Amino acid sequence: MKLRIPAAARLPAALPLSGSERWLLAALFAEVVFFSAAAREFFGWTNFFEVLRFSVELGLLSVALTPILITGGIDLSVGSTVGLTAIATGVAWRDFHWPMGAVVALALLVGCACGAVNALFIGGLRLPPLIVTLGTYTLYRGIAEGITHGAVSFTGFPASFLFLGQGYLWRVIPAQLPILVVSAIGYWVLLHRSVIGRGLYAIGLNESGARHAGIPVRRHLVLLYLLSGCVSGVAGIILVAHLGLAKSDLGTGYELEAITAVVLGGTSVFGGRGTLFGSLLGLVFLSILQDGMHLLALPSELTGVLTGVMLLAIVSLDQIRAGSRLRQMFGPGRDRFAGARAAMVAAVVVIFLAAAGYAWVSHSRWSGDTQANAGRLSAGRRYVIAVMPKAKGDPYFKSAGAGAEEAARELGVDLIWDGPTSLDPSQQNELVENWITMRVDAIVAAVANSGSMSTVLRKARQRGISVLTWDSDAAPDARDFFLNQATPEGIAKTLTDEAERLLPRGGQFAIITGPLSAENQNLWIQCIRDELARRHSRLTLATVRPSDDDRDKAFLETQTILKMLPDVRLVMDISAPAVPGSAEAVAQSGRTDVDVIGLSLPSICRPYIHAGTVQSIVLWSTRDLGYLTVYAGWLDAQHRIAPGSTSIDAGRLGRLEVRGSEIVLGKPMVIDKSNIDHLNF
Amino acid sequence: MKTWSREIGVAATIALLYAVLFFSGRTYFSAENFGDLFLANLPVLIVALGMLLIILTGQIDISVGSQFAVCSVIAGVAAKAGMPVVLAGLASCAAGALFGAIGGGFVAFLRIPSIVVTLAMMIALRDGLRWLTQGAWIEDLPPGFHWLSMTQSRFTAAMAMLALVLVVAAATGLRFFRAGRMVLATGSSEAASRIAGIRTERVVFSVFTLTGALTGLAAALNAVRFQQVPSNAGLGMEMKVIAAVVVGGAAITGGSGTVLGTLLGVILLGSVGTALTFLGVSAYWEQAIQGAIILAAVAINLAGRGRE
Amino acid sequence: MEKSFEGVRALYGVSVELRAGEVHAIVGENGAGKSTLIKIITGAMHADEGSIEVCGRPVERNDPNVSRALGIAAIYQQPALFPHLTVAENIMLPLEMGARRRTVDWRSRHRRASSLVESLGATIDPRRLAGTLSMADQQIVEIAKAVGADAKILLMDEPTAVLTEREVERVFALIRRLKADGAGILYISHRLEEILAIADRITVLRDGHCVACRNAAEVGRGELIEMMVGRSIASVYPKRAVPIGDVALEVRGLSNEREGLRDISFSVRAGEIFGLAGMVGAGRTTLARTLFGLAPASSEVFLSGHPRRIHSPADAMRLGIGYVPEDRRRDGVILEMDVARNISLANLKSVSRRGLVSARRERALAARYVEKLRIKTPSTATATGKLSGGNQQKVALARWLATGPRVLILDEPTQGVDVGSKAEIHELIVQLAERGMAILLISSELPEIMGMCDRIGVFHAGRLAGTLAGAEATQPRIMSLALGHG
Repeated sequence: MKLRIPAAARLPAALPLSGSERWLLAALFAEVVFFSAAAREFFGWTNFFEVLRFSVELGLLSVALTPILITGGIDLSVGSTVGLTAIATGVAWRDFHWPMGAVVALALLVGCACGAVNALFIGGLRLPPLIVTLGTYTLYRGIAEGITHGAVSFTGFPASFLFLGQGYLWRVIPAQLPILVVSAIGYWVLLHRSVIGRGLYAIGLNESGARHAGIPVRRHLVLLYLLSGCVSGVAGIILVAHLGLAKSDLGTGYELEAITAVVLGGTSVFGGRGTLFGSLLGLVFLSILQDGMHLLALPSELTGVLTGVMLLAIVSLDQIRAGSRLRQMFGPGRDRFAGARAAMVAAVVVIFLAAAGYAWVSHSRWSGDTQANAGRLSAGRRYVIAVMPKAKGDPYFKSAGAGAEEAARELGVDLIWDGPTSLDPSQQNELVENWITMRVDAIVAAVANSGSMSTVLRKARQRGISVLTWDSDAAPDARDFFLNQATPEGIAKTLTDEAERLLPRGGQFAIITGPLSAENQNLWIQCIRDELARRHSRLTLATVRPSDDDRDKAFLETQTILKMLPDVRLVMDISAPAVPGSAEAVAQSGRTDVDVIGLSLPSICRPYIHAGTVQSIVLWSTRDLGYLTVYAGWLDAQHRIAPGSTSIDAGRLGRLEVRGSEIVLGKPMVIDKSNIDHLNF
Repeated sequence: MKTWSREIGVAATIALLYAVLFFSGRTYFSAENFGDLFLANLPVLIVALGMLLIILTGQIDISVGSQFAVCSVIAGVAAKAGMPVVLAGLASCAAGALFGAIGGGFVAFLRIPSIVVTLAMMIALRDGLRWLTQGAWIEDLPPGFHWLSMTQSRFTAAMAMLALVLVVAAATGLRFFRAGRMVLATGSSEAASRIAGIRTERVVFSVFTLTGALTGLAAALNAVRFQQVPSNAGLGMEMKVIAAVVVGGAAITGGSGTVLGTLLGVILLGSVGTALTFLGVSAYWEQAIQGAIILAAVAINLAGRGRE
Repeated sequence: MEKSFEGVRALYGVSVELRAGEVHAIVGENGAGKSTLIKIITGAMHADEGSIEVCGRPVERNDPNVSRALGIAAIYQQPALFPHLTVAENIMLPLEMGARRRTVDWRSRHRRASSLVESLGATIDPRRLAGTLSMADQQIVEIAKAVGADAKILLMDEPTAVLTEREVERVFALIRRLKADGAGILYISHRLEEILAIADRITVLRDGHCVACRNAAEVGRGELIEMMVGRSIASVYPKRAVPIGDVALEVRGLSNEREGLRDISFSVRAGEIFGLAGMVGAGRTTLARTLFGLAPASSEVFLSGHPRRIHSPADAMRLGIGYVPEDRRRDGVILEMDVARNISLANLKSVSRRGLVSARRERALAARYVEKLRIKTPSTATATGKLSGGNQQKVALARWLATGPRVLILDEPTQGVDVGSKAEIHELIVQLAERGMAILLISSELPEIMGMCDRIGVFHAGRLAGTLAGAEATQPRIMSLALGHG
């Protein structure tokens, strides 16, 4: 019997471009074309390689997750493994003083151990991967936080190590890229060419069938999860080298980003379908999206919205194609939901177009918005001042943003106001890198992690960009000036003076801070302790609790303090969202003998100040501070701040003192019942 | 025969924890503390009831945290715009139901895996909310907002009643109503459900929509405990909710699970946090301990299931 | 009561008429259209043309709920139960679906379910979770469901495939009772002996056409087969005398505590076909799984005289054992994978070099077996799910033949396979024996076992009750050993 193998039915073994990959390739192409046209710095080698550099850690995770998803499993713990490995690196280097080689070896071992636990539960005990890795996701992050008390930040790694994450090979290729390339090739061989890979697809399609064919299911799963831990460990080491910093919250959210990239690339979470090439496509798509959005000065949140919509769109479109394919395969059946399906797809496409349209309109509105006024360059180009808050979604920074916009309007400059949307330290770095590519005139950044940001800020200075910091400083040689709203000593003094005033006979008090890892807040706590030692010996600091800048958490912590430490008479919140939380907790507990003070915005504390629960808050005009960021940035970009000057003229703020390289906004003010209603921030 | 071994296991763990707390002589056992714990975990309980239904049908929803945040803001905006508080709460429920319906539509009718759909919605809702609010809080709410104009203790009592009603309704619905049995049937075997004439798409769509409405309700009830609404309330709560349902004995693959188990799971995971502080254990290890509990629960769950 | 029907595509103008109080059997090879017919009647699928009439009234817009309301119930080969729900709920939930009342009365459920199960002569605790039942018990629950639905039109698609002889008799008794009550039963089966025993009329389908409709009393087995296949097939088994070699497989005192196997001892020689007979649940498949490493064994197994421990399928394969499992669609092949990949799956080493698979060699291997086993498939790149049951079984067989085993265990190799392919598979088995393979043949079809095997081991309740050869291997003798009577 002669056998015809029709060319159409023959599956090419190496690169089957599935439906979803085709859509993705088309979307990727459209994306590149769009950004190249819209953002002039997009299409170039430097930008391209920077995009790649930032994708390496995520790329490693995506590559490791692909075969796991193909077997119908999942690994939610990869991000937490990155964090734990980073901590291991930090501890081994700083506390054990091991040579770098041993440090790296230990970190890899930690990564493998994390993978081994998953492998034991999932491969050995055959427990469901979703829940096991949910558990290890919580466990590993928890261990990292427990070891470092959430606070410690390891820096000071040797330059030879940092080269791995920040250096360039042959001047263009980021040093960590070859590692990703090698891993991707290795995994491609494993998945698409090797005997093991064939078994993996079988397991994903039909585990029982695979077992009956003699495929060693357990062994394969153990291998995959073990490898995943190892690769996450490598990613953690690279991330530390990249940022020059090791903290317990490194890698937060990476697991979901990696899964997004893999699913976008056509891998089905049910198993049995997917390619490594698709995952890499998905990764590149997401990285380019983020990069392009930054270069267009579009807000970071929009990237998230578009990612969510794109994910739904591509998977839906692929599903519809798959549905018609299945119908051809297994016989006809009435499709009652064709109408619903079409409606869904139409809805997704409409939402996507609407979001893209809005983005385009708001972008063009932005640049055309600011009125012509003083400050234009003679060549007719407007200054671009890029200001970065520590985190978006924080009322403190939002009110500063209002001031920044005011200054931008007054001076006729283009303001880019953007910042990270999550705790991930690398987001700030990435954004600054993009701004460097855009060749903005000034960067004014509130630094969340000075260890990692200093490096990239130095780079910006080298490229001729004026660099200032505000609210929280970097290393002095990484910036031109630091806009200090108030010195840490001044803040500490004002707070402790208020505390003394409210507890004239002395007593216990508690501090509630933001995240344990916030550098400036830790500095303030240190200064407070110094003040206590020096001048307020009758006041005792009973405890310091974190609130992660979350009002509800501050609420809970205050409740606990009131119950556990009944002698505490004062709660001092040095995180703005925490004050209302503490106030509410004190009010609800009925403890009228306890006062609440802190650093916070009048707008969110108003009801509590009027009610008397919060006696006073200490702050500076955040609006003024925001105004200053743009004004000082503008001055510095024109080199109008002479070296050695002791004061500058800051528009409507008048003359401000300059101490060395610090520009001081003023003294912190005490806000209470008497003056709160006059303030508008 | 259905055994209650898993629920008994969780109850035993809770009893053990409370015994340790009791004998350490601390002041954990006060009406005030339990009242506070209850109010703090009420949102998790309400959402967990919905999540239980979703997991029973064999699906999952990781977007509830983001839905919670958006619904809180909607409740605040509605109240500030002058709506009576009850209507504002309903608006929050309606918004939640809408989000649930969107997610449920993709899962049920387009047959896209629920983890992908809800992942996309989680990201889109969370970042969309940040974009729109830029971090601003909703302030200057009408005075009727706080505690729904009741006193704190009245409110707590009312909430306790509400929680009781919801728990009993969920348990009764699952056990004695055909709709509830259809939920279990869908998760147990989709093929058999189809043959039995159960419209599994409608069942899945309904549980997602219902969970969305419950999330909106939880968001509104949480918001009225304070006098302002922040723009990031509840982000990340999905992991806690899912953990509570799983620790309570529900099978992640669907078809098996009880309301009692979920309730116990919420109690256990809700108590661990403050218990650690009261026992003097460094609270930095809370997350690690929660992770260990989840792993232990899963291992024990499956060992029990194997024996059946 | 009458029911007529006409449909197209997989069915070309098929008309079937079912009278009240009759058992009307439908026979045909696989792919003849029987399953399609059932699906259309139950409303799971739609006919392109034609009509369905129940009691003279035409049925518009059929779907599972409508057909159930009309009194149509279907019983399939694979029980589709809810594993997490109780037996009582499994029986009652589908019955309650059409009712107006939205609440559940657990006590009445329990009562009704108990009575239904008892009426079938079974002893299943209604409070047990359905997932814990044996296959046979699950099928009984399915039948109880149908009976409970007061169905007047019963469609049975290979319902006895997983039942023991005694259970089959019980089901037949039930069918006769239902007949007397006025129900009409459409009965699909490959087991021609059963059909001739129970049916009143027989309709033969071939390639989607209705070929004949006869009274059962007027037609014989050979004639039926001829009509089904369109050609005359010798209804004898192709067993011939084969030179027997050394002992290839020997089992001494093998036990599997957890699954109830006790003290099994037998041996199989090269070239010998050793049959395993017995009731379903007696332990034959358990033995197969134990030999293949899917279940733990208590003692060693002797292969060509050497004692070996088999802990996993990989061990078994290394020792030259192959196993074609009973559940073809779940374990025998992977439906979504193409033919070539399925065939090479157990023996990837032979088509790969240094761990990397060569697609070219894989396709060549597949092509060889497609030709040898006469597998009907458009190409080796076709998804195996698209093939008919018989061809899927051949793919499963090809997979294991490719490993070149010395001992091959076949578990119900012709279950659900059409007559033409069945004969081909039987011929193949004999050829393998001729080539020196030792073959273990598990089958529930006594004629097949008797016709194909040199010796027959009869299982009862986890033990080997006796080994029969030659003249003593008669049907009554096998049955009595299988039932536990000495």
